[in-house]
Amino acid sequence: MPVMSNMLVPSVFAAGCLVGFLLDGIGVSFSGLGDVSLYVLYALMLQVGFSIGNSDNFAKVLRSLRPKYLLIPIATVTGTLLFSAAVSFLLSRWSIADCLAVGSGMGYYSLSSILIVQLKTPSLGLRLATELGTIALLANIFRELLALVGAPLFRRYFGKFAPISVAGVTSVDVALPTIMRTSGSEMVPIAIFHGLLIDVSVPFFITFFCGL
Amino acid sequence: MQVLVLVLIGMMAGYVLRHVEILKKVSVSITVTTCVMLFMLGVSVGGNKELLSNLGDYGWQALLLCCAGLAGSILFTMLINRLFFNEAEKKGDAGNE
Repeated sequence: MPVMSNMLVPSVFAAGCLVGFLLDGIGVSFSGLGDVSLYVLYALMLQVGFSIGNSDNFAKVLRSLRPKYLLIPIATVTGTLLFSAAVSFLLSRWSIADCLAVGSGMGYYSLSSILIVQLKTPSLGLRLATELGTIALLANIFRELLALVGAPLFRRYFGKFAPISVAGVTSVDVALPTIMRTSGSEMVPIAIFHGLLIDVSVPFFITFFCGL
Repeated sequence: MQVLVLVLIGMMAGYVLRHVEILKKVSVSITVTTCVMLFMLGVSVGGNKELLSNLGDYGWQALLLCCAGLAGSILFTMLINRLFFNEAEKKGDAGNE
């Protein structure tokens, strides 16, 4: 679950960029980094799974599951993926599967960017995979930002589920207070359910689309 | 594939051990691990001049993908709202600002 504060991820990424830039400036290469980060990724995925199975919400939400509410995460996923696939016709550089991989981040920018770089390196090469991972990072950060800033607008023009859907995975944490303010507190359980389900689905979708 | 197996193993372990209080702190270690990985991603972006000089270009592609995803999810949620949650929406509108 994306539990980190809003500024932490961008600043860590920026610090990494700076270090990489300086190291490159003095002629240090880091070709061995890929192997190390693969094992760090494995450790991360184990923990992500662990936190999903471990969370009180998960069991609680699963028990109180009302089938009708399943439609909202399904709508989020279907809409996001369909329209992300359409973008590949505008971006000739990327295949449909590449755009789908970026889209299936659903606002989970840290995990999606990392997974895409790792899983795409064998087929695209490290350079293109890093490029796509960077796009995934930015696209999903934008999604979270727009979900936070635009929630009142989405609520007003597109209905009370729109702020939840737009928030994607962050409807369970970062965007939850905003959703409560704009769509009402009766939307909170739905938002948590939505975010949790998408949270679980993100690794599966990304792995699937990176393998196509 | 390995990635998914690891997620599933983690989920099962997490569920079995859900009453062990100390393990609830896993979110902290996730944050740390994620930061390590993002730092490494940053290093490989920062050390790549070509990538760095194109960052603005990636920004536009990212914005395009982001907006498409938003438009799609909004459209489908509206559709579902209209088809399946009609009466709930009317009730919600009554108390709306």
